[in-house]
Amino acid sequence: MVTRSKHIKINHEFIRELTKLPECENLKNCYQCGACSSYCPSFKYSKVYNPRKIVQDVLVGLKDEILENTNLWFCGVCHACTEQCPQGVELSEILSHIRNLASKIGNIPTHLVSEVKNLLETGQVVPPSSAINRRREKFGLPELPDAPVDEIRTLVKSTGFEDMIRRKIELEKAKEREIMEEAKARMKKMEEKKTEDA
Amino acid sequence: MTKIGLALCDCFGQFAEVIDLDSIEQSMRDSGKFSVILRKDDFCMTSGLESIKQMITENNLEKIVIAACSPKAYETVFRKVIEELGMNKYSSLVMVNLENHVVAVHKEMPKEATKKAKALILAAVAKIEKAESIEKIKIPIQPTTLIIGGGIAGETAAQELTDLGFDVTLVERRPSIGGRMLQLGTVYPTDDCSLCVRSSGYVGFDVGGPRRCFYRGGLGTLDKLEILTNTEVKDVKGQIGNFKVSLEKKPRYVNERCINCHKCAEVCPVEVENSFDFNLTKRKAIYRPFPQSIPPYYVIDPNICLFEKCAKCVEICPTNAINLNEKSEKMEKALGIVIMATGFEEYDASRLNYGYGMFPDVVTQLQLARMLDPTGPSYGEPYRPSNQDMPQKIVMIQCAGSRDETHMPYCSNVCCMIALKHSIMIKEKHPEIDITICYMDIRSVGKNYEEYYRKARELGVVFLRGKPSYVVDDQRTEKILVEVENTLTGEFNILETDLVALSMAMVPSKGSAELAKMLGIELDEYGFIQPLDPKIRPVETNVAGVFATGCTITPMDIPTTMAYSGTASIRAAKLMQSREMEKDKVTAWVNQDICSTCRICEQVCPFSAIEMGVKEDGKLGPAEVLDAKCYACGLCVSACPSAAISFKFYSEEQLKAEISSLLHNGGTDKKIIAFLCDECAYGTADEAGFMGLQYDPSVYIVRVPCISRVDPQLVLSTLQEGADGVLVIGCLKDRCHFLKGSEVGDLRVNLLRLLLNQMGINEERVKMYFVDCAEVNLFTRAVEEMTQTLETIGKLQMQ
Amino acid sequence: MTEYALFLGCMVPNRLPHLEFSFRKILNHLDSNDLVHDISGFGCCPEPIGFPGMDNITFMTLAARNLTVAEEQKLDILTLCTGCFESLKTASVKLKHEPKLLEKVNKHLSKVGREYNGTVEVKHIAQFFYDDIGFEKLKKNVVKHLDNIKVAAHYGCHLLRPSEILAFDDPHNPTKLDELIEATGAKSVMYLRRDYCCGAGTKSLDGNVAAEMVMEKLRQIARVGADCMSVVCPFCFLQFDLGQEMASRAFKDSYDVPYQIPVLYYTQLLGLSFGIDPKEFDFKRHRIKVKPLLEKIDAVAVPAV
Ligand code: SF4
Ligand code: SF4
Ligand code: SF4
Ligand code: SF4
Repeated sequence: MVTRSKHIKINHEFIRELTKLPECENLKNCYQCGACSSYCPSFKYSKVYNPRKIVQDVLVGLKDEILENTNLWFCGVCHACTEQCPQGVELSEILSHIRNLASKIGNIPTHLVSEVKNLLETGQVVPPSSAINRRREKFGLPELPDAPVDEIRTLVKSTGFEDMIRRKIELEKAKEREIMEEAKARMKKMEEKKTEDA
Repeated sequence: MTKIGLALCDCFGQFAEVIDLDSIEQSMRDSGKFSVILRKDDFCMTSGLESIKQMITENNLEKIVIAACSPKAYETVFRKVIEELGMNKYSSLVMVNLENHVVAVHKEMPKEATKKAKALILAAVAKIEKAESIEKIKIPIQPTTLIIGGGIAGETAAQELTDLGFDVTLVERRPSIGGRMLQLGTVYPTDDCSLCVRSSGYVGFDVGGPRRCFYRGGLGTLDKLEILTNTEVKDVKGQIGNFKVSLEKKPRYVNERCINCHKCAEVCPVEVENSFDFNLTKRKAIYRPFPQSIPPYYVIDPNICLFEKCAKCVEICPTNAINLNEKSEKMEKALGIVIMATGFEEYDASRLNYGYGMFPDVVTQLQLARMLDPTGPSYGEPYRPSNQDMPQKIVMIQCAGSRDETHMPYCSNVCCMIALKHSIMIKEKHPEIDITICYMDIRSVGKNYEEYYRKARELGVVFLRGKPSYVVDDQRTEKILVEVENTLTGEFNILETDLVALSMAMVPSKGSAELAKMLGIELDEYGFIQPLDPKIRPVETNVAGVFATGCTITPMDIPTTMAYSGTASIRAAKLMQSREMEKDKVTAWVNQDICSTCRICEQVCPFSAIEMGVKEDGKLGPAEVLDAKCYACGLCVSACPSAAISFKFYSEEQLKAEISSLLHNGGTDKKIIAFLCDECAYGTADEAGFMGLQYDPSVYIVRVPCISRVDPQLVLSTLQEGADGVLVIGCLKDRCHFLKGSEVGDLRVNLLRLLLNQMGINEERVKMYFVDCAEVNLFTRAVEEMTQTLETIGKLQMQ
Repeated sequence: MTEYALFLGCMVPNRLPHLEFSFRKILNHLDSNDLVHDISGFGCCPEPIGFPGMDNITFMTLAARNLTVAEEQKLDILTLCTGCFESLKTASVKLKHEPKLLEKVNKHLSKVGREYNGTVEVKHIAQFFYDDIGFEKLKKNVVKHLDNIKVAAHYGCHLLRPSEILAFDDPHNPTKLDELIEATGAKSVMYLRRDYCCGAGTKSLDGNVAAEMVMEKLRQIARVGADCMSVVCPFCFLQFDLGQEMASRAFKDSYDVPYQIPVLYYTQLLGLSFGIDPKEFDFKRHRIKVKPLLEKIDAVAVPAV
């Protein structure tokens, strides 16, 4: 899935770094059989996301290529790969750790960013709605207690997660701005050209 | 007083470069222990040996201490010499390893070295004084062998042994011998018929020819071979030379009057899956296992036969060969040797995600082998069991259950070759059939094997590198779909196919575990027989006189099996040929008055050498060591809570006397006793000498057969006697010469360390190490670590 | 008897209250209300798919916060959603066995005056019915044997895997939910790809991938002639109910669609066998019509003796 430069030097550092993390030790046992990918529903249907290939890339140390790849997030976290692996590689856990590293450099999909926004605002990923609350009443279901938004905010700050997400949002805004400016510049050029032509 | 002589060697002046031999001689004279002291520098040579003989005869010596080089190198030579003079080779000789324990390793410390040499010689005296004479025992060996399992492995061993003139009883639980090989149809590396076996007798005589058809090979007619089919081993007792075997011969219901007319099967109303064809076909309740079966008669399957409710076959049988009332027959036999040849079966394919059992068109390679057998159900043509059609496409899946931590972690050895063989057979006949082999690695190792791989490619077999995850079917097209990533291209493939053949892992046959239990033999975690040593003794088991061959040890192909069976036969013949086994009684023995019948020794003995006795009233009696099985490791001696078991050689008194003498006469500012097992650990210390490594002279080496002989009590008393530190060094745990010695030793020492802590003694005073003979510096490192510890914690003050 | 704090999560109470209702109804029917308590203070579980991928420690901390809420009341946790189950159970297992992780998490928790001591067990309602309520009690309440219908059980990834942590059932060949279904008298049918994912996890990234997964499952289920599915997770429920309708539309050329396989949350199915009036469950909220199923049941359902 990663497009490679012509000559690749095997870099053992990334795997050393990764295998220090919990559950990642057994990554080295992978013999590249593809039992994981042959099962992975996400690979089967998306064709762009291949868990075995990620392990292969880790084994040869293609750190940047892996972490910058947005397809990482295609994993449905069904853990089937872990159960399939004949070598006891806890693949879904490892992939999760890899996504943690990717997140640190801003590789987080937008739907998760909005999920976090929801969480920080309402304390829940799927927030309540008044229509549903009316339905609850009809069912005679108990009223829902308030979500502990403050505590969640404090914790998220404490772990540094909020910062990470904020950085990501800023990054995105900066990118947006860049795109806008580029577009403006292009418009300007076009107008200039028009006037010139005229 | 016992007359003891001392032979003090100078090894051509080499010892004198370090130690003061005159002073040593003087001290020994002063000790008054020796009637005579002989100093020479060539004891290991003919001249030296002669002088030893002379010293012994001239002085009427009863015992002798030889202070020279390593016993590992010369003990056997010296023992032979004194045995010739009528002395007991165990109780009359002790060697002191001056070369490797003193001279070579304390080069810069002549004073300490000289003192150490003296202490070692005196300890040798202390040890030899307590030595009891060891008698010889003779164990009669009946020249008869029980072979369990009538497949190619067992048959071959049976042929070898009968050719060598021994009587063999071959027991097979199925109704015919022949085993798995006959089901294979065609076999590699010769691509010929699997019925081929080696002929008995000598090539060119009698049954002649290098190989013969199974049923013409003369197996059924060998005078010295008794074949018992439909027979199960129910119990085995006793030891090598005289195993008491209980057998049960199940009724066959058809006797030798049977002329194979097949009339009975025609009228028989019940049908069942034919296991010879791995359930691809059906057979009747009365059937012939396969056309060449030995014995060549029909048989009734009692599980499905309707018996007297039907008895149609009895009516129709023209020779009156059927007796539905036949009963099973119990037999007792006494046999000298046992060979396990119980073979393999395929791992349960339905445990994989490959649709086996769900889709009839998913078969195993053995089922495919039946199809490809020219005498098989389809006369050698592959077909789809669902509709009997010829498949247009075939997918084979390798490592199905093998090399898989969630199933069988090992490689099953033959599956790559079988898949290659089958694909070549199909392609040669039907080039139009597409074959894809899903593999991870193709293992076609060696001459004439890799050639199969090339040939398969030449013929157009496609190799797809990937382990399929799922096999499903497409209802509409009636095709089987194999889902797999081609890991070389990174693409997800759905292979549409008509037939799937699974190269299943090989596992030990059912029932081999129970047999192993009866025989007391060790199995590995997968249920294969654990050879005594996988490298050096591949066909021997932990129980003396019980051998194994074929796939009951590990998955192997036919040529390898032939070689294994040959080796097992030679090993068996070696024991049987002299009709008796002579052994020195260095083995353990039980003082039956003290034995509390706790059964601990019975459980711990790695060689199943201990049996509990039976009292007259039928109650449990004291334990008994079966000498022929005992390897004299000493594990039981130190395990017995009642101290009822002892050794005459390496006896408790001997060890205690030796240690006490060492601690009394030796040592520098500190005293360290190092218990070294007589195998790798002692070898390592020798090696340190050969390499000239230097270490602290306060270490004294005490030889024990195995570190499992070192019980906590002995270590404690060593500390009490004045040792500041104790080293216990044995072989690597998984390479212990006595199988479990190092493991048990480790447990014991750890326990002891706990105990020491409770007693207020620093547990670091006892250290344990495991070595491989070649790890020279481990011994010196152990000494260094101990001396360092002692430097920090000081001498031991015992209350 | 172990007592539980009911962890509702977000999807069930905020989008699918009729599933919550069915559980409470059953609990009431079994007279087991005192086993399950509503307590306040729970927050997002957080969801086990995207969240741990962003930051594992934050994930653990937020999950542990929920555990402390139950711990304070000396209760174990019961979940209605397999997602909540995986998140909370993973946290409880890992925090129990990795003291270093617990220490880290507790450092963060101390900022909100909390500390987790590792005492809370987490259960999903399937396990609750299997172990705590038990078959005897379930069967005693069955008044309407559902003999006439074939049910396809969908366990859901997050109930089964990773099996080493969740330890609910054999991940390759689970049987517990089937047994629970059969307690109603219905036949639980085997089908291919029982362990396949519903696809909910990939929906946000690529609706097509998710739809393909739904279709693959439905194809196998339809093939064995199942009359309905039974699920134990609101996400799976949505995927198969609403998702079935949408996927059927999307794949109208390549499959024998539209499929019409009703999807019942396990406690709804149980409720039918308990003789609870189907009207109470508000089945009209389901996108795939349940009515034909109800008719089929009533066609021959025999009162249990
Ligand atoms: S957990 Fe992710 S990578 Fe593993 S099989 Fe499921 S979707 Fe594929
Ligand atoms: S299944 Fe395991 S061994 Fe095979 S490629 Fe995937 S991670 Fe590697
Ligand atoms: S037993 Fe009967 S059927 Fe069989 S061979 Fe003899 S006669 Fe024929
Ligand atoms: S000395 Fe060893 S082999 Fe002999 S009986 Fe005791 S434990 Fe068994």
